[in-house]
Amino acid sequence: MDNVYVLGVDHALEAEARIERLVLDHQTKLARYVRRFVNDADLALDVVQDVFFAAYKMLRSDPSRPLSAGWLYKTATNHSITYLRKKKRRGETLPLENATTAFRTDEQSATSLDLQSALATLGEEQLACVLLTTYAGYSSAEAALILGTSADAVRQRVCRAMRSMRKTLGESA
Amino acid sequence: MISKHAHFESLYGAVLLGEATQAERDEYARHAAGCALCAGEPVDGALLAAIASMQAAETWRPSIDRRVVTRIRETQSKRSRFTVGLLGWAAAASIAVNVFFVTGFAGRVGSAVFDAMTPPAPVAATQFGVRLPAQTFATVKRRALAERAVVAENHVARASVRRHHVAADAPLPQRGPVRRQPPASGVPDIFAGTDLAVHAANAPRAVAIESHPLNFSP
Repeated sequence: MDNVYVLGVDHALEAEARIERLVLDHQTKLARYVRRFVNDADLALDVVQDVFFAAYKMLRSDPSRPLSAGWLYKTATNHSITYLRKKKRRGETLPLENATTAFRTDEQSATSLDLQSALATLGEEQLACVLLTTYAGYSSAEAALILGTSADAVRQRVCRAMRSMRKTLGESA
Repeated sequence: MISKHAHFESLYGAVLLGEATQAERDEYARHAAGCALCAGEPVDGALLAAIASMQAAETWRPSIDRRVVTRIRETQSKRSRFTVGLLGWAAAASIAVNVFFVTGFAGRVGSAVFDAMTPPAPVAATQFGVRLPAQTFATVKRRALAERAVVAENHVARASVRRHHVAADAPLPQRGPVRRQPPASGVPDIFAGTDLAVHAANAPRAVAIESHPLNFSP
């Protein structure tokens, strides 16, 4: 029975094994990144789960396809942007003072909370550029590849995001 | 083509991210010295460094590997259930189709559908018979009411044509007074001028009545 070959089963098993490795390697960093993006821990877990499931579906159809962390961040960013836009369309706004409920008590330093509140005021594209380049540690060129834009556009968005955040932090202070 | 100030914004972003070369830093510094918007902007990237430090301060360690694996297994079992169900339905449908054709039910249904869709053929009655529509499966098929009516009409038409055919070959005797047939040529008409001439049918009886015995005297 060792050599029994069933069409599709080996692909599924290979994809499952690769996904398990991907999940173990990237789940924590990806979930934290998404939590910063959407400001909601539970939603971040759902988004990350969707990202890994999308990766599984892709690997099931083509197990030999290379799958990098950049693809995971790109998919997670797109899912998060979609969620934030839906939330805006529905008119759901989370007050800044409540935006900190997504974080644990030991993570809620004053600086961190202020920064998170300032980040929450940014637009989706600026937020993605800032989080990818500073929080996730990608260069502007890598972030441009992930976001499907140019490195110059990423740097400009970082520049404008910094100005906006300074203004927000200055006003709140 | 980005505008001139957008170029310096890009330079400023590179400076903040630590990606700018020394020449780019100098170029931005020269621009910032004469630009009202960019003057006084910090170039140390302290804000970005603070954001980067947030990750180091985080203690949240979510574990979703069980959730992902469970979801994948559920999907696989759903797919296998769907496949098995599909195969079951396919086998059942195959058996049903086989039974449908082997028992001849398919032929009857097909014929009934064909008859229902085809308008009834006109019945052409002639002097010697009736041309009926083709009767395929006449012994096994169930006829619709409309078709039965057509067949009944055909029977009636055929019977009337038969009667007409018989009458044409041998006409029935006419009722009423029978005219006396004239005698064959060469035979003397002994009834000419008598009352018997109008009672030809009763000629023998009339002869008996009208005749008188001869009285011969001895």
